[in-house]
Order: sequence, then structure tokens, then C-alpha cells
Amino acid sequence: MREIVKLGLILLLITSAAAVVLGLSNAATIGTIEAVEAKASEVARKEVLPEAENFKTLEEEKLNEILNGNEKVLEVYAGYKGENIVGYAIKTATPGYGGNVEVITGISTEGKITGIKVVKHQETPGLGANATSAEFQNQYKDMNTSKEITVVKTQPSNENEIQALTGATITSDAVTNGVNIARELFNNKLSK
Amino acid sequence: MDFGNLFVILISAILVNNFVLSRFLGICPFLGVSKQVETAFGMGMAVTFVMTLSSIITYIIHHTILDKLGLEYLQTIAFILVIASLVQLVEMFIQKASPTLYQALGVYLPLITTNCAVLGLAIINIQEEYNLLQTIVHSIGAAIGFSLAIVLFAGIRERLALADVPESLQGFPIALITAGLMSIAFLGFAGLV
Amino acid sequence: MSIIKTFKNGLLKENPIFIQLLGMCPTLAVTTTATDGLAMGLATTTVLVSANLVVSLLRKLIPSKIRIPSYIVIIATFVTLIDMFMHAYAIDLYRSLGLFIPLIVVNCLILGRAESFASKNTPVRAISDGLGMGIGFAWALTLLGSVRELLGAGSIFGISVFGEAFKPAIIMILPPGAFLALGILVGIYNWLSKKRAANA
Repeated sequence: MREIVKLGLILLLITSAAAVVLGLSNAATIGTIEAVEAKASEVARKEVLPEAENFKTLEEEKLNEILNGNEKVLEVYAGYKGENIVGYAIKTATPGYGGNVEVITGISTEGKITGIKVVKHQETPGLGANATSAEFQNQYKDMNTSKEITVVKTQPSNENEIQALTGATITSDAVTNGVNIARELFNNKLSK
Repeated sequence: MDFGNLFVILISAILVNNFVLSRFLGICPFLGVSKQVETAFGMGMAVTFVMTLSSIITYIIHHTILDKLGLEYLQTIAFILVIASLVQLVEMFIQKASPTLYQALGVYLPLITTNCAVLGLAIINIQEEYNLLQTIVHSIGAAIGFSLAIVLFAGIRERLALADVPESLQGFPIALITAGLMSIAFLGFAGLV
Repeated sequence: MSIIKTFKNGLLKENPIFIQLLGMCPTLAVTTTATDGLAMGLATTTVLVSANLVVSLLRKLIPSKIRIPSYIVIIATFVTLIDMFMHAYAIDLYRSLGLFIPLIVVNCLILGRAESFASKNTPVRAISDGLGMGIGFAWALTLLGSVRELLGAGSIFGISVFGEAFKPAIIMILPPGAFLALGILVGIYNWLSKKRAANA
């Protein structure tokens, strides 16, 4: 019995030492981690909506209404130039091949897609992971939000068609679904 | 909750995102305990048991303790401790409750602590933000996928033992190449979901 | 065994990947590029050396009955530290290694060295063992990553080697390529070792 107590105490000692070390280093790094993450998101938003000078998240009531209405929408930011809203940056998460694919879509107030960026994914390297390439992402640029975007496997012949990545149709669909959700959100809730 | 979604999770965990052949989790037991179909099956069953149980417990711990108190950074350490103690408990329980089952699974149980499929599964469940039901379905799927891969692999290796393999490739190299070919076959499931 | 010999042991003779076949999960999963392989190797080395040092320092204080849980806690602590620091200072690597950073905990290589070497040796020797095994692990991972990246994407460390005309064999960076490449590399390693032994 005494031995069990002793063993338990030693184990407790080791785990509490570990917890203290981790607590301290968490306190030391959490600020940097948040800053790095925030900066990465800010940079990504700027990339998809270059015209905007700074971004603010929507006012709480409207944002909550949007987020509760569609669980695939993660963030909605309005991009400002001076006092005026020039467009929106909408982050969505849609299921791809290896998990959710997170995409930020930039839409100008005139209803044009100004850019998209795949910010987080677990797709297969060499296939689905190519969704982060500029070549793929630039296809969405300047598309009109009034019409649904579709994925084709050959050279696109109509407007609002995207050529799928080689060997990664599921990923291409996931990205396009994300952009379409952002597009509909803009048409139904934001442009009015 | 719609069953379609759960079914997709299950099938994708077994075939498309097979834990061993496409996510590379649980490779150590996959290569180590796959010389005979019988032992491979035993390992598969033991892993199924621990995986399902541990992902339920880690789910509860994450959502009732770590998440509430803002201690997510202790996730790794908490999960691995849960798994290690669970394996011990299961071992003791089976030993008392069913000596026959213990004889069959006993040797594999201690190995499961360092089976990264178990910890990997717990972390993936949290990352994918599955609810409890989805977690359970995903765990069962992952475990079946693991068992399927290891039993099939053992079947091939049993025959491989009789084959004439170049000397330098005997043992692990040819086993790895075999696993590669199996993995190609599983790639064929990619379009399934 | 001298300290230098301990260090050299892990590099070739008892190479964790080619001879002992330990830590296979990260070996196969993160070696799609040379950079990721190297980063994983270095992260593992750091954890291995730190855990070896602490286990060796505490080797007389930890009762043998609870040594395994104690080692696991020590290893998990260092893994979490690496996780935090990579998240804060190397976010791109953190993203591409993903799930496999926390999974360093269950790399059998680390628990194996703690149990079979560090718990029985002085801190200095434990460090040199950790460094040797870690570097042995890292170079093997980098080699595997380079081979797969070269064949599967036509580049090494992100630098294109073959130019535009090269049609990469995408299979090499897909899961099957990991098994095939490692199987063939282990085969070559065996063949070279035997040839050396025959010549000596």
C-alpha cells in the first residue's frame, strides 16, 4: 500500500513538473502564435481582395445570422478603402479528399470575384495539394457572382467554368463548392 | 443526424483514407505483427477494441476539460496518458474476465500504446470537429480499415515466405514493396466518396 | 563503448530506419519532399536528445515500475514544446508536417532509446546516443524525401532539377510511392552492407 502511494506521488510530481513547463512555455509562445496566425490571415485576405486597405469583421448580429445559417461559412470580413466598403473576404470550409478544405474568396462590391486562396487543406501532395498553385487559383479571378461556377475536366469553353486539377477532381470540387457558397452568400445577404 | 453522412465517414475511413495504407498510421504493428494471418487478426481485434474506447474517452476529456479550461496545449500529453492507462486497464480487465480472450490478445496489448494509429485517430477526431456519434463511427471505420489491411497483408506475406526473393530484398524490403502494391490497389477506392 | 563510438552507432551500423525499422509512420508519411523529411528528422532529433538527457538524469529517481508512464510524460512534454515553438516561429513547416508533430510522441524510436539506452547510461553518453540515432534518422528521412521528390516532382528541396520537359512520376509522392521507395532503399542498403562486409 505504502509503495503504491509513493509511486503515485512520484508520477504526480513528474506530471506536475511537465504541466508547469508547458504552462510557462505556452504563456511565452501564445502571443507570437496568435500574431503569426492573425498576420497570415490578414495577408491572405489582402491577396484575394487587393483593393482593400484594411479588413473588419461584420457587425455581430449580421455575422451570427450568417454563421448560424450555414455551418460551412467560417469568417466574413468586409474590406475597406478609407471609409468605403470595397468588397468582402469570405472563408469557407468544404469537405475534400483528406478533410476540410478552407478557402478565402474575395468578392468586390460590383459582384466580381477578385481572387481566391486555399489556406488550409490536407489533400494529397502532388495532386490535390496543387490547389494552392497560382495557376489553379487564378482561374476564378474576375468571374461573375451571378452564375454558378462549375468544374470541367477539359479546357473550359463557357464562362464560369473551372478546369479540374489533374487527378484531383474531389479537391477541385471542394474548392469550387467553397467559392460557390461565398458567391451565394454575397448575392443573398451582402450585396443588398 | 442523417445516416448518409455517417455512412460516408465509415466507408471513407475503411477504404479511401485507410489508416495504414494512405494515412500511414499504425505502420509499426502493420510491419511487425503481420507474418501470420492468425496473429494479424488478433492484433486487429485488440486495436479495434482500444481505438473505439480511447476515442470516446479522449472525446469526452477534450470537450469537458481541455476545451472548457483553455488547456488545448495539453492535448498530446493528456491523450497519450489516457491511451496508456486505458491499455493497462483493458489488459487487467480481460485477464480477469476472460482468460481465453487474454491468451489470444494479451501479447498485443502493451504494443498498442505506441501504435500511432490510436493517438492519431484521437487527434483527427478532434481536428475534424466530429460529434460523439461521428467520432464513434469514424473510430470503428478506422479500426476495421486497420484490421482489413493487416489481415490482407499477412495473407500475402504467408505466401511470400515461400517465394524466391533476391537475397538483399528478403524480409522487410519485400514486405514494404508488397505494402506499396496494396496501397496502389487501395488508391482505386479514391473515387468512391 | 566510447562516446564517439556510441554516436557513430546510430548513423550507419544501427541506423534507426534502414536497420532497426523504427519510427516508420513519420518516415513514410512526411517524406513527400526533402525539406519536410529534413524538418521531421531535426524535430525528432531534438526531442530524442532532450528526452534522453532528462531520462538519464532522472534514471536513479524513477522507480522501475512506473518508468514507462514517466518516460511517456517526459517525451510528450518535449513534443508539445516543439509543437508550440514550430507553430510560433516556423508556421509553414508546422502546417506541412501537421498531425505528425504530435505523433512524434509515439515514435517507437524515442521510447525505445529511453528504455534501452538512456535509462542505463550517464547523461553525456545518453546525449551522444540521442544525437547519433537522431542524425541517423534525419539523414535517412532526407534521403527518402529527396528520392521521392526527385522522381515524383522533379525537384530537390523545391529547386527544379530536370526542367519543364520532365514528366514526374506522381505515384512517388502518393502513398504507394513511400512504401516502394523505402522498400527499395532498404534493399540497396542491405546489398551495400553485405558487399562491404564481404570486402572487409
